Amino acid sequence: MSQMSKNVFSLVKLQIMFQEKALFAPLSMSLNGGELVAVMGPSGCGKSSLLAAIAGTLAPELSLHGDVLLEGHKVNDVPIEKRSIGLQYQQDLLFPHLSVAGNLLFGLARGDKKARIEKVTQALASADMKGFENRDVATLSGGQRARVSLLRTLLAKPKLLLLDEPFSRLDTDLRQDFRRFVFSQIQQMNVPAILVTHDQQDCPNDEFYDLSKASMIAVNTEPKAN
Amino acid sequence: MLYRNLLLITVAGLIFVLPISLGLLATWFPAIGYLPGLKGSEFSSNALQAVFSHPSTYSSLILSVSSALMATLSAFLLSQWLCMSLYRSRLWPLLKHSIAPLLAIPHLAFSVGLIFLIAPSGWFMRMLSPAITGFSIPPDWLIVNDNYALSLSAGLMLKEIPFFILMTLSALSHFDHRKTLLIAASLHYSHVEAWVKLIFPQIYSQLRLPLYAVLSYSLSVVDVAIVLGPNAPATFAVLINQWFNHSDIDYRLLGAAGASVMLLLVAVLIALIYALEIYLKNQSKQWLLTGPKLLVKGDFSTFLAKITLCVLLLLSFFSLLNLFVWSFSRQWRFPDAWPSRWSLKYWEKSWQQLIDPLQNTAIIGVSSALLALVICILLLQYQSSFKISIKRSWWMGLLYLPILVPQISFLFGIQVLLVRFNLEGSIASVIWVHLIFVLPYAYLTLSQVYLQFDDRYLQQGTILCQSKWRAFVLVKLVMLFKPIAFSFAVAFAVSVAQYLPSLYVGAGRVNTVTLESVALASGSDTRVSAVFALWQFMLPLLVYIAAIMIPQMCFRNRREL
Repeated sequence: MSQMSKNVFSLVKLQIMFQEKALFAPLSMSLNGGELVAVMGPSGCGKSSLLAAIAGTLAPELSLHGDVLLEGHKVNDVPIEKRSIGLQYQQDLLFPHLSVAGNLLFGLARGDKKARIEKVTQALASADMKGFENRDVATLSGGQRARVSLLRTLLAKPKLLLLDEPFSRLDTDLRQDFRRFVFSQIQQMNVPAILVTHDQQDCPNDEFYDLSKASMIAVNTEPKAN
Repeated sequence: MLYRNLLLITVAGLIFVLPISLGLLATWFPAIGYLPGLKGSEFSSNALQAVFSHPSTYSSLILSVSSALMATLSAFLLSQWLCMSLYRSRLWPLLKHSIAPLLAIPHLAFSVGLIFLIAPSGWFMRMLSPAITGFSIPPDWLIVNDNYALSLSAGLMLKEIPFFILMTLSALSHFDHRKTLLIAASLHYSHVEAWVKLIFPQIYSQLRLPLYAVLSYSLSVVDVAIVLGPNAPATFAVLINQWFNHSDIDYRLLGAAGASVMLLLVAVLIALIYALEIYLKNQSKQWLLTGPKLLVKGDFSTFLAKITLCVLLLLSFFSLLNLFVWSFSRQWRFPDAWPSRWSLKYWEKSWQQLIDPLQNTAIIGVSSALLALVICILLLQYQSSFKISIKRSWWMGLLYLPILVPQISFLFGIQVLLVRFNLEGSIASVIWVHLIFVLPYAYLTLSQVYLQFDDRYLQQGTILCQSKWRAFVLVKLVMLFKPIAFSFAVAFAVSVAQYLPSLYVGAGRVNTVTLESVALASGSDTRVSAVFALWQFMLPLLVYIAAIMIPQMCFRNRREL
């Protein structure tokens, strides 16, 4: 890794083209470990495509311009399974044929069996879910499922976390809890993260990047519709 | 609530299971010597002993088991491999769209076409001869009807791959497989490893019954085995069929005993497959969780899968094309790649011979399909209006029973019962016996869409029409016209393809296209066989096309339907 690049993750003049038309203005940003930026914008402005481009799953009819850099390396052409980018959707996508521990072990790299199990125990404890190892994921509450899903993503040690409206399926109370959990895990794991959302309350530091306006915008400064 | 569940299960049991149970019982009694009217009424194990002392039995059994296992397991593995490897390729849409036409080809027509293609005097050999092979007369090779039942296994395998792929696609539609694979990839899993560890375990529970059904079918199939299978000895199912149709009436008991052995054999093999499944599941528990490996890239596998899919499609296409070429030929000498003289003679000739069987087939097919639809819609409507949910595995097991139990193991019993009540040989009886086999397919093709129907449409309709029945017909049935029409076509096709039910219940008086095709397939004139096999193919095809076209025409200005 180059000593020059302080930032763990950066986008350099990123653009996504559909039939030679750009979906949004060139986007450049840099994030350090533990930093989280929220991206908002009206539907159809290219939020999902942005995440797909960063993850390496862009639909073939879309083309990518500019660079995606992880730890100073250009990863535009690295396949998703070698990119080390974590994905979190609004569905938790827990694998129903595996137990809670099974789901978490699934994401862990190969290695010593005891050490792997120890990591799972620790992760569950950090989510207030001690002793849930052998539970069937179908018996968990919505909040518990969401937490296990995030833990699974983080145990794979991603270099960047992409959150695609991860809170939108939870009701208001759970949403608060899970949001706090996600933000604290991102801090603890020291991983940069991009969050796509529709809800201004999800935005950290009361600001977000508006993809259609191509600038950072403070929450609540937009004129309210009367 | 409970009594409604019980009521539904009882009614479904009466319709789906009772005829089979009666047929089985009426087969088992003769198997242990009890066949009043025909034979003495003393219980004995003579018939069973006779089965095992018959000189052909053991070799027949080995042929049956080996060909069924080979066909079923290879078709299953190949279908899974094709789905896995082609999922990310550009051929995935082709795979999805080629399933329906491949399934529409009846087993029998496909087998006849395959013979004309791969036999020593077949089209392949004609294309290569004499230029490449140097043959000016067909070589004396036993390719079709070979003594190891290899051509039978191959034919069955080719025909079951599309069925397994269809079942896999349907199982995939039950969960978000695309995102599951994305998550797995982001967790450092290669596509192959992700498929094997995440997708396959999630879809297998829905592939289990189809797998057992195919195994049972391959073990007990008679028509395809007569056409493609070995002759001396034949497979066990064919042997039983010969016993049942032997001129010496004593052989009926032998047949009944053989049929009971067949049922036992199917049960044992299914149990073995189940045991294998449990064993593999336990063995793979640790391995599932050892973490990503990132070794398998799968590019070569995708390449091979593409070729395999193309070969499969081309084989099916050429089998059919070859039937057409033969049916229009007048003279086609061996090494020539094409007929030297063409004629419509055999189509014209077949027409006179066909009017009766064609009529019967159509009447039986339409009646049994319509009856099946009415019964299924009643069951489904009851299920949806009372929101009954029965444990999926139980319910499916019940509905699958007529497909799981080998036909040959209980049709003789049904024949015995019908003879008892003087109902044998009438077209109504044949319709009824077809209904047993048509029902599960009608239900399986219709149930998902029917139960997903948003009944608030019906509510609105009832308020507006002020009549439950009118709303049901004018709103629900019309909105579901497309899937109902498709289900009808599938049911009709299943009825057309039936061989044993028509043979055992028709008593030689109700001739069908399929009966004729089997009788002629082993006959001397290729052209006549080709024409009949084509009729067996075209009849369901016409109904399929109608089932797709008519709703499209009715709703041509309605994008949502």
